[in-house]
Amino acid sequence: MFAYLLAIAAILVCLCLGQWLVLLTGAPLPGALLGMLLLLLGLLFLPRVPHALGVVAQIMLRHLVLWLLPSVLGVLLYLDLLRQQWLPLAISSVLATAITAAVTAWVFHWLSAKDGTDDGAANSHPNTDPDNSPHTTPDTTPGTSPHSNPISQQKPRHSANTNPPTNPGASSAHPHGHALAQEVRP
Amino acid sequence: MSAQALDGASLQAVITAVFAPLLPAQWTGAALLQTLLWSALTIAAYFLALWLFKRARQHPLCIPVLTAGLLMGAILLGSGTSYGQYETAAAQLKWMLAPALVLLAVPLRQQLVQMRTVWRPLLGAVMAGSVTAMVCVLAIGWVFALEPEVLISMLPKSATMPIAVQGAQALGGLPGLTAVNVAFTGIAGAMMIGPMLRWMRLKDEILRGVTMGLTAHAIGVAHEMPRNQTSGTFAALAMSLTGVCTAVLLPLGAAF
Repeated sequence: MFAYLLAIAAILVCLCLGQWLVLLTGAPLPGALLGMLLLLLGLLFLPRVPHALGVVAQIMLRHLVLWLLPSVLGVLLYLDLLRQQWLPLAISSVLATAITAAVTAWVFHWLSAKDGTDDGAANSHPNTDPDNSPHTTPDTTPGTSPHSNPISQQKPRHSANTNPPTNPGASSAHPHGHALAQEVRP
Repeated sequence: MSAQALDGASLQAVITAVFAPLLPAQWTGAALLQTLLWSALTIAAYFLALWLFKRARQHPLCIPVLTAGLLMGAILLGSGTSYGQYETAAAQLKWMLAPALVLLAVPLRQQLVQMRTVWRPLLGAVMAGSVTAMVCVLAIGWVFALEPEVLISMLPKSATMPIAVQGAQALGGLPGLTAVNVAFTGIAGAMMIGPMLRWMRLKDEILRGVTMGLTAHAIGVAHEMPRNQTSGTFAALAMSLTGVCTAVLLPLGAAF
């Protein structure tokens, strides 16, 4: 229970510090974004994401749509504007969005194919999906290890990691999985 | 500006500002009743939308943001509630977005290794996508001969809402138009990108996440997070990078 309170406190501290930094520097960024960077920076010093923080993140992030809803409904304030400018708005949101998405997808695909011949191999998920942070570091409490990464889609990967049928000598399958993920890019 | 003038007092001001929607003033009498009513309605609409999305086998026309948004919009218009009233009543729900955004650091940390392998295509795609979004808007503005202030308002269409609104406002745009355009872009992106990538035969989850986060910003991230962690994480990453990229590029684009 205490761990959860600590996790929530850490989030709020990051949020406040982020907001404070925005005020201090006058950067045109939302405070929450800087708060996110601060939390990420803090997490880099830990061997893996604390269990409680992971659980809180899973719950909060799964319902991101709900937290966004009041902001999206702000559109209601501008119904008049919508009536006046509907054509450019519609084209901008449909056509320009489609073009943007296509260009992004294509550039990403092209660059990752250029990076090596391994495009397909490196990016074929969910198998290479490395939530290997719990596995790369020796887990002090092995019993909690399946839960230590709660945001991931656990079923397929964990079964794959814990009993690797293709790899008989691998009771140390976890470091192996990590090496795989890294070897993919030469 | 000296840092000394800013430390004690302003830190307190920041904390008050951050937690303002949760302060006890909101928790009395009629305000409390309003809060409970509208929060409950929003949550109900959200779960109804989730259920519908599942029933429709995740059909892109039934994405929760759209259905829940339409439902709540209809309720608000039907009951004659102004958005201002609703916004104060749902302030607590809205506030939850900030800590949720901070928590995006958790999946980012968990996928750090994978991020290292794709940083080059990622940066390239973010640059290309941000520029493309702006060029498209400039082209639309040219075709429709839009007034400069309308054009500037529509430029930051793929950034997250606060960045886009602040950026456009600083350059003399109309914040309302920016907000509408950003919201529509997000919803349209979340609806179109899935079928589009299938059509382009790009099945990679990282690619899907990057495209989603870049184009559809927070709405894309929210759409991807429950679906697949990898694409959700990369959507979050692409969204953050695009936000920064747009903030930098915006004055350049507006110069045209």
